[in-house]
Amino acid sequence: MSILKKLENHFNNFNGKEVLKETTILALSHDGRVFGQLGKIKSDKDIQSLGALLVGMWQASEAVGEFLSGNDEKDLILSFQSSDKGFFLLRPTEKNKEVFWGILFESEVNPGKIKLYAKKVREFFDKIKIIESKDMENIQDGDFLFKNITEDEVDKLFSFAGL
Amino acid sequence: MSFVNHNKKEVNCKIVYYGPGLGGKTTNIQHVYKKTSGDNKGNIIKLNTENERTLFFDFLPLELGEIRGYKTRFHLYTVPGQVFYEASRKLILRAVDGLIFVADSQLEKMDANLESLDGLEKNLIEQGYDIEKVPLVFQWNKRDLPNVTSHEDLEAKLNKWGAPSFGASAVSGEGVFETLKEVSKLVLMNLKGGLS
Repeated sequence: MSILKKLENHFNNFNGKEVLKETTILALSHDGRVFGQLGKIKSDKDIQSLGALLVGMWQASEAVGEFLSGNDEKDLILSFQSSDKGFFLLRPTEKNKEVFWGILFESEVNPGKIKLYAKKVREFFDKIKIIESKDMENIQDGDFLFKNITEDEVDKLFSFAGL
Repeated sequence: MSFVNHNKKEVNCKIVYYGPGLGGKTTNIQHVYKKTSGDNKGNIIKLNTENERTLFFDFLPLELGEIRGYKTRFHLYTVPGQVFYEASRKLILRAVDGLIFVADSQLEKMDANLESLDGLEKNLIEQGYDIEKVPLVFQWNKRDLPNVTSHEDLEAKLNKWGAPSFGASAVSGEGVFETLKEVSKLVLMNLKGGLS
């Protein structure tokens, strides 16, 4: 089953779905790629930019955190919000250490409630293992996907540039 | 680390433009953005200082079409070139799949090129990468200017790995896509397995 399908199937059983129906939930990799989005769907191009920015911001904040002594990182949440819109960024858990959570909201009367539910979403997804270790092994040890790639195949990808 | 989605038949790769300050990294991706049709590109994101220098990174998501049934998606990043942004450069190198080193060909910029390349090697080691194993392409930029170092000298002083290299003038677009195409090819050849 694909990661996105797994996320969608599990989210279907989440009690607070109604609360989050106007909220975009992004499951992000450590390098800002988007495993999947739930809730209010944004365009594919927007979520790519959002993923890069959110995880970039997380990494920068984490690097700042390294200058601070005694900070407890376990429940770190980054937030940026006005009275009705903003986002929360939640660190991965021990069980799903590959996945950051980005929760974006607009026109929200009670952002505090979204923060609470953002944590609940992360806890809820901790009931499953989102990325199996066999999947990770595939990345490291799998065969080359395009081993014998030809000049023609690459040329076709760049034909729009007149090369 | 590249992200291959077998169910969606999609590959995602991260390419980083690295090099000294004012060498033309941002100009490269601006040219790519300008020459790519709306269907193939996302928004260009620039995190700049007030005087238009890169503060954190530039980002351009690019879709290049299909190869053997897989949609190819490249995320292009630039690092900030100024010396004091070393911490940011380290962050952006995380999970890199391919590198373009944009060298400034002007004679007086050789020291800056060497310093930046030295920083790249060290930063890659810190991230657990060996520069010899990461797809790398050199771009000798600003060939349109007078008083430039010869190709031979640039190769001898900077390209000790014999990586592919291209002369370029990013302001006019010359060499920009040739460089990107080469590193894309190396990255695709290097792709392994993936997540489903």
